[in-house]
Amino acid sequence: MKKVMTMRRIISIFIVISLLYGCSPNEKVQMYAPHPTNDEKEIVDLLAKKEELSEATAIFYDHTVVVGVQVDAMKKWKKKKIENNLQKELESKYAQHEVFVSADLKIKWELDKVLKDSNINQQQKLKKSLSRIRKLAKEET
Amino acid sequence: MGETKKETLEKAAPKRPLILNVLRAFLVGGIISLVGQLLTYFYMYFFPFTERTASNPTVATLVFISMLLTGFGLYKKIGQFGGAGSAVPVTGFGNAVISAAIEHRTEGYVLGVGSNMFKLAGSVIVFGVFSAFIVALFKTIFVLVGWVSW
Repeated sequence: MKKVMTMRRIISIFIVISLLYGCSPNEKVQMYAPHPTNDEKEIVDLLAKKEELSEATAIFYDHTVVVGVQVDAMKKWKKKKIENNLQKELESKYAQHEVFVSADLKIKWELDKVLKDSNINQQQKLKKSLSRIRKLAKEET
Repeated sequence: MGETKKETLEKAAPKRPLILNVLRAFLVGGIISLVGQLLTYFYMYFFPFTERTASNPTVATLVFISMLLTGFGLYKKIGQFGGAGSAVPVTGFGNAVISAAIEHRTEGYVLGVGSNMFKLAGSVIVFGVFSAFIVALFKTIFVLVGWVSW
């Protein structure tokens, strides 16, 4: 009986925590641009409108945009297709930018880390971090 | 006409709780998969592994854990409770390797453990490789046709 009560308590706490986490307000698109222009704002709006994405992080640097997206859980089997389509769409719309899109969760986490880094304004460090992330995304083994 | 051996056995055998067994297998298989997912996130968060590459250390860790559990005699209990739920995930592979090794330990390390270790797991490897080949073949055709992308 005591065991059942403890189990019930654990399950209730788990449900409450899940609900609180799920209901917490979170901005869908996070971005960093040293000098935001119309292009950057348009890209952020475009990402925000995509229903298949649950979250996205975009970092702009010197005509380069690195985007990490988290695909909606129910659409994960089309992840690669969504990633390729987004890459093509951004490349065609913003030809003057070098676009890099990844739907890998690790890349999004790494971009989030860069966003939270206090040294984000140091251009050299930002450039180094972004090239490291792009290299990581191409890792096969 | 007398009963066949199969019919006699079916009559004598106790009735299997099918739905309960399915639920248990679902629960145990689900828990093993949850541990696998948590391990993937662990490798992704603390090491430079992406979603794609983190699956390799995850599988290795799961197999290693199941091998240890088999050695300590704990996986047997999980297997008795979860049935197929404990055998189908990759942990079942580790269990099959170590249980065969333990069983043939008395026959010596070379002719006993060495030659019998993959007695059960060998079929897993053969059919795993074969089904991977078939899946890859179909996927290549689908990509060439343009139905799916890599």
